[in-house]
Amino acid sequence: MENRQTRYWISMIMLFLSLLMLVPFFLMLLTSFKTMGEVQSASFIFIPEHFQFSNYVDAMTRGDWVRYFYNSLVVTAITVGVSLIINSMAGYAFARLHFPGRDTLFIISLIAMMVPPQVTMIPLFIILKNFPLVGGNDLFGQGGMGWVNSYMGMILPYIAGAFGVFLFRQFFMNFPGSLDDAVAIDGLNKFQSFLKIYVPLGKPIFAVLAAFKATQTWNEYTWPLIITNNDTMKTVQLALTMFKDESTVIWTQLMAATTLTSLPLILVFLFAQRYFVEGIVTTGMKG
Amino acid sequence: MKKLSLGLFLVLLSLVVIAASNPAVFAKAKAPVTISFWFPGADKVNDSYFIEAAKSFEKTHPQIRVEVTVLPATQADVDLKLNAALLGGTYPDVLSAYLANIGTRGSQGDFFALDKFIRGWSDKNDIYDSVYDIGKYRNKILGLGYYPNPEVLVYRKDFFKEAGLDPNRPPTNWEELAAYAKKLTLRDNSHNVTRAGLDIPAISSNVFMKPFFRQNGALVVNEKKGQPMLDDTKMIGALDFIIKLKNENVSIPFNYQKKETIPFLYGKSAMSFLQPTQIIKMMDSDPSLKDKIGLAPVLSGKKKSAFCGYRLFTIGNTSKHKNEAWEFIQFMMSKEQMRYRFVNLKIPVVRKSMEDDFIAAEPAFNKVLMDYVKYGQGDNVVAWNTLAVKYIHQAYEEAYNGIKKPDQALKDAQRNLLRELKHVK
Repeated sequence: MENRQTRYWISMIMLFLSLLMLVPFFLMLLTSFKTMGEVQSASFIFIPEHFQFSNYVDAMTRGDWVRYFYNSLVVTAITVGVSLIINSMAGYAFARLHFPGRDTLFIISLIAMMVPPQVTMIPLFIILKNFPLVGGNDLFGQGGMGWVNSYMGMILPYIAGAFGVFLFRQFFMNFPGSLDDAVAIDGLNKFQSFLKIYVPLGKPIFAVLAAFKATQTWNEYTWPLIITNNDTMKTVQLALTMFKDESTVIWTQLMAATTLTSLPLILVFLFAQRYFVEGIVTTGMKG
Repeated sequence: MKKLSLGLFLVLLSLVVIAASNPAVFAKAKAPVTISFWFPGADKVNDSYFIEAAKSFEKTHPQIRVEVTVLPATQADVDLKLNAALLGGTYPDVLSAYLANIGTRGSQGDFFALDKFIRGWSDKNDIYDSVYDIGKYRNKILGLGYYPNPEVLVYRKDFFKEAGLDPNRPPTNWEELAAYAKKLTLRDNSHNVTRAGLDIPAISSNVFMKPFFRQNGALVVNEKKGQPMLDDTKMIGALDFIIKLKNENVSIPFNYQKKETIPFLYGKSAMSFLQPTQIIKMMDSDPSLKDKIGLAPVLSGKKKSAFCGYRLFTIGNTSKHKNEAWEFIQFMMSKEQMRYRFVNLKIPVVRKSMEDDFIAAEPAFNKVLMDYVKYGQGDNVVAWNTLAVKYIHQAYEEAYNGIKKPDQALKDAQRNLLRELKHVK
């Protein structure tokens, strides 16, 4: 009886906290329907008097949003796809293969997780700008723009990443050593074993990393700001700055556009939700 | 055989000489040059104008292509992008810079000195001297101002009438400003201000305070000597005046940097300092305000002074196409482009020959605006201006909140700024 009551109260607290987490989202949604007068009103207005759907129209008619969504989709899809292949293979190698220097290499890759991206951003920009034989560059990386202002420039820095390797390694380490023995008896080589056994078993962790990577890439602002130069390469996050000028912010349109740009991520989370929880539990990352 | 070879050689040589003496031959062979032009975005009309202007330039200058980049309006984002571009070798050929950038970036060698180009420019005498002055750093013109953006004292004529004041006689000096602010303030039974007499910011006051400092004769920063002068008695006098007025409970607190929070925009204040674009937007969203809003002349204390921000055309020091970049700047400074800007974007002109046209277009509004441009000064052009602004903000907020008296707050600010500058130097 006491146990049931405790569980009831814990559930109530969890429900309250969950609703609390949703408050910013609802505020965004409600602000997207307000008038600027209501946003700036001295007394806080929670629900708008008349829902201004025109904020969405006004926001979407400013700039080429089809292009911005397309750019974000291309960059996110390729980044997620390629990073899943690279990270899973690296994670598998660190977890299941035995080769000299394996642990040292893994520690080095972990150290990379500790370097803040702000530190590597400008050197990375210089490397991509001077990449040989691309974007008009010669063999020595001179003469052109390299991968500046290109999809490749936006994608390349995000396709690897120590976090993904770590995640896969932890996941693949949970499998018993006898599994590898059984696979070897069946005559599969290491690559076949990865492809036919570990990948199908690793669905949850693939979903987790896909969701993480998708969120990270879709929401990235600073890197696209640096690496792109024109409107045709803008991502949705960069486009959101259109609603802010030197002195004012058009909150209503900004919130309308933000609501629309967050929809694809909400869909990703809804689809990956089941695997997401499973993946976190199985990798031992319980907070 | 030898004769044939010699003959062929001579024919080839003469062909080369003929081609070299005819520039058209080379001009035809030359591929178009691409220059990059970066400007901070503002609104839809503003951004479209610059993009279209670049296209018009390409039509009249087929040998030059312009690659336009709209930057975010946030200074921190612009700085990040410019820093990456500087280190990566992709700095723009033409940058529309803020006035503050002349000190902060110009002092670091980001911009190419325009003096040589300006000397050979046929229109140079038609441009206001102040335009050249504001873009100067250590006697070199690093930027050419094209977009003055003054902070204009606006007032509500209907509120003036309500308070028994003449709606056609706005304040012209400090005494009148203070007296009118007190008369115009409305309070409820608990003495809370329901409608401010004057918008006095609670934070981020640098732009608000600068004209008052200068009207009182202060320099704020001695640019020639590179010295801050925050503890000058004229600075203290100006801050004292504003704090005393604030203590009369005539304002509703707000953040001056967040322009959308200014009470005047929502009918919650009778007098305020606004930028022309804000005034126009306000009138556009509520046309009935057109007859209710008036512009006050530049206030005079010991002298007349207003705050006038600027955007300037600059050429990147690393640009490989400086001549083409200057061609583009000349095009953007042409009478046609300036006319387009004042008609469609309400940007004040910076050419003497266009002043009358600009005023005639909307006399009541533009005449006052031109005065603000003429008496306008922007932020100080020193490399450490952001530090000076930080300490001005700090001193103001200490005085505003009653933590320190104005003289003590400014003296402390001067001492702390000098201490920090030692490390910077």
